[in-house]
Amino acid sequence: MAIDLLLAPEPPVTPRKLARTVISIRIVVTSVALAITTSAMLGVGAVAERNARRALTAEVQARLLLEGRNLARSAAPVLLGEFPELTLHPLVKELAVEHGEIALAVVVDHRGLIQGHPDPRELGHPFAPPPGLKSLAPQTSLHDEETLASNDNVMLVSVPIVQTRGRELGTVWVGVYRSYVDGLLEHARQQVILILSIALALGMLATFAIMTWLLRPVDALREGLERIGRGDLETPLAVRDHTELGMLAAAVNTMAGELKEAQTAMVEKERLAHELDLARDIQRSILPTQEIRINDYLVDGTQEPAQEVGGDYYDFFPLEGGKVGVAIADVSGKGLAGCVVMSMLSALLRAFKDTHTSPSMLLSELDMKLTTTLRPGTFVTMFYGVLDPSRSTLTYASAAHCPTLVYRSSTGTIEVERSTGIPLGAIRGGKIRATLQDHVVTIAPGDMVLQYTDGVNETFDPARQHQYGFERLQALVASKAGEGWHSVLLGLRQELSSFRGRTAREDDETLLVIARDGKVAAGTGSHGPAEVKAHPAPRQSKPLEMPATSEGCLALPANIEELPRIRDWLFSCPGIDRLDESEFEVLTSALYEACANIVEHGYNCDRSRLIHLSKLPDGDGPRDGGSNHLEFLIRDQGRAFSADNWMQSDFTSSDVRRRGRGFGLDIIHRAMVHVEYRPSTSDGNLTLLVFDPAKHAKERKLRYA
Amino acid sequence: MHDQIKLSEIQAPGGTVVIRVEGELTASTTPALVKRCQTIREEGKDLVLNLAEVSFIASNGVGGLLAMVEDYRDAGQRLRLVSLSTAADSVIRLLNLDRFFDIDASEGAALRVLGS
Repeated sequence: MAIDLLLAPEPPVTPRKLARTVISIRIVVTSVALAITTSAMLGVGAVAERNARRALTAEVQARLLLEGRNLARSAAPVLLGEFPELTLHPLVKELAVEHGEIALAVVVDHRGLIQGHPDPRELGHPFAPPPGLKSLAPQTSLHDEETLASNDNVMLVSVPIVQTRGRELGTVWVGVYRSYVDGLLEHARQQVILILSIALALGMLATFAIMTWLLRPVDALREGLERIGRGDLETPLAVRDHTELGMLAAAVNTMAGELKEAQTAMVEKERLAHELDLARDIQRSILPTQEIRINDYLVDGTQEPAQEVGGDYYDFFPLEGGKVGVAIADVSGKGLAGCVVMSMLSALLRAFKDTHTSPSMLLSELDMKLTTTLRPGTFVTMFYGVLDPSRSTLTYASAAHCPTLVYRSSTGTIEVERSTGIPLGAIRGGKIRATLQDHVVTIAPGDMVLQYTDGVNETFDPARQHQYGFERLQALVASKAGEGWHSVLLGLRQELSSFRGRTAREDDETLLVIARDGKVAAGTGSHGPAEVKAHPAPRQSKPLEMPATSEGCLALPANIEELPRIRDWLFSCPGIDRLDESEFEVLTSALYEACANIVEHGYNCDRSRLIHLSKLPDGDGPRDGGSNHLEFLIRDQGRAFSADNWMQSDFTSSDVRRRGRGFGLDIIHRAMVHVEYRPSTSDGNLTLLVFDPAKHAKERKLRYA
Repeated sequence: MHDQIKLSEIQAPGGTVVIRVEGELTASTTPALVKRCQTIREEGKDLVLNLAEVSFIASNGVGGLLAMVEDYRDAGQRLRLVSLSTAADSVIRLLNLDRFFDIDASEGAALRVLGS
């Protein structure tokens, strides 16, 4: 429950694209420019306004003084005459009327009486200056006795009226409205503001336009990168720009091109790997899946493929008159090309096998067909023989193939037959015919003919200093042949494997054997079969054979997907109920793995073939086992495979763990107390598996202790 | 068909992925699991494999799990097995492989270890 509570509030998968707040560079730059320019302009505006105010004030004061002095100059002679008010009144009125900004224009005589005023009613009255006057700092130079003052409403000057002889005749007062001066200042300020605002607006527009123009490639770049993200590497970014952004776009285009090349290379590599897998499957499917037995003769072959697809080939097939055709060949070159040539060779051989009784003629025919299609430099070494059991002979010809080894059981010696022919496809124009000849080998009981490809004798040791070579090969055949053909094949596999060490197989290792049984039973040597053994096997109390009754026997098609049926079948077997759950699972696994081995190696996944699995009756098994033992027998008709070079997997090695496969035999051997493999008996290949629940109970106890 | 597998995937808090495996881990079904686990590893996430509903595990299944653990270890990520069914547990212990796996009793325990 805790889990559910923990997992239940898990939110839905976060969307890959997060909504992001985008801050436009153009707006950022324009805003910053706006702020800087505005503060600069405000500063400039303030200075300009102060200067304008000073200049205007000076100008107004100068005008007032000018008007005052002019009036004083005009009034001086008039004040000396009779009725000066009659002359001065029109003069002052004209001044007031002509200049609306003039608030005050008065001529006062030396007694303080008004002699000139725009309003005639004021004439002759004593003059009182406007109240609240304060002296002003003059912006222009004043003469003696001149004053400059202002109150809230007016700014005015007083200028003395002086006779030429220096006698003071009176005073002229001229004033101007303060509102007039303020109006002038306001007007000037508005003009400054207008000009600055226009400049600011133009600046902003220009900045925004330039930024927009400069950042124009960014949208194209973004779209292009998104397109590349979606996998479109074909369409280049159409950005023609000479700024750094243009360089960036060019770099992105280069990157897309390189990505595309890498992608193409990867796809091509995968395609090639897939094709090579197909080639490997084709190669495997061409090879025979089952040995041929005629009377006491046996023909069989095996191939251990190299990591890379090789061009090795072997085949055998019945011919007319009870004969058997046997072939082994090695195509120069590996990979797909080698595989194709091999397939072609197989088809040609099958097509022409009945047209020539002479092996050398058949090889010549194959040469003729192949030379027209083989690429120059490609050739095939080939051995072809016809086994005639009725005459106990093998007639063969060899086109530059490896030496044939013939084991003579009567003497225990090996005869080496070397080829004098040239390879198929090496020289055009039928030149091969003169180099080939048929050899006849008589095969006595117990004799054996072994053919192979150069992958066998040219196997290198891990240091790549020495090859396995013919001498070792001959010595091995000589030592194992007495035990039967199966021992030769298994012994050779084991020895090659240990000679090669941990290095990978560089070439296909293909073996072909033609054997005649001697005094011993079919397929087995006089020393008994090779056993898949980890534990020393107790002596058998009776021979291994299929139970007389097939009741309860499970017939499984050689298909991995069918193997889980073993579990259901096992449930129904008598005596299973005494196993606990864990023991049952271990037993199921071991039986499954044993059958899986046969499907894969014995039957080559040929689904038309059958595996028979049966449980031997309790206490009736071939071994003297404890009463709790459960014994199972598996029978198959597939190719006998080498299982005795099994080595326990070293799980402490991380390489072994990384390999991740090939642990089936570990399961079988750890689950079972006894494993016995008898290939090629009259009943087919037999595998005996003995399970002891007590072993597992004990191990569990140890583990938990 | 006998040979089938079902993978249910749960996103645990903290980015760890839990896969509940149901069915038989054999040569034909293991590649699907391995592929999924590789994808999760490539995404940089930790993984918890719940094997409670594994009714059978073949050598390829065990091998696949071993190789995956190595892959995760190489990538500096973590893979934990939880709630092993008897079938899975029996074979893993038969081969004495439990020392190479990080095994927990429950998804909760594994997630606590992974800090999710």
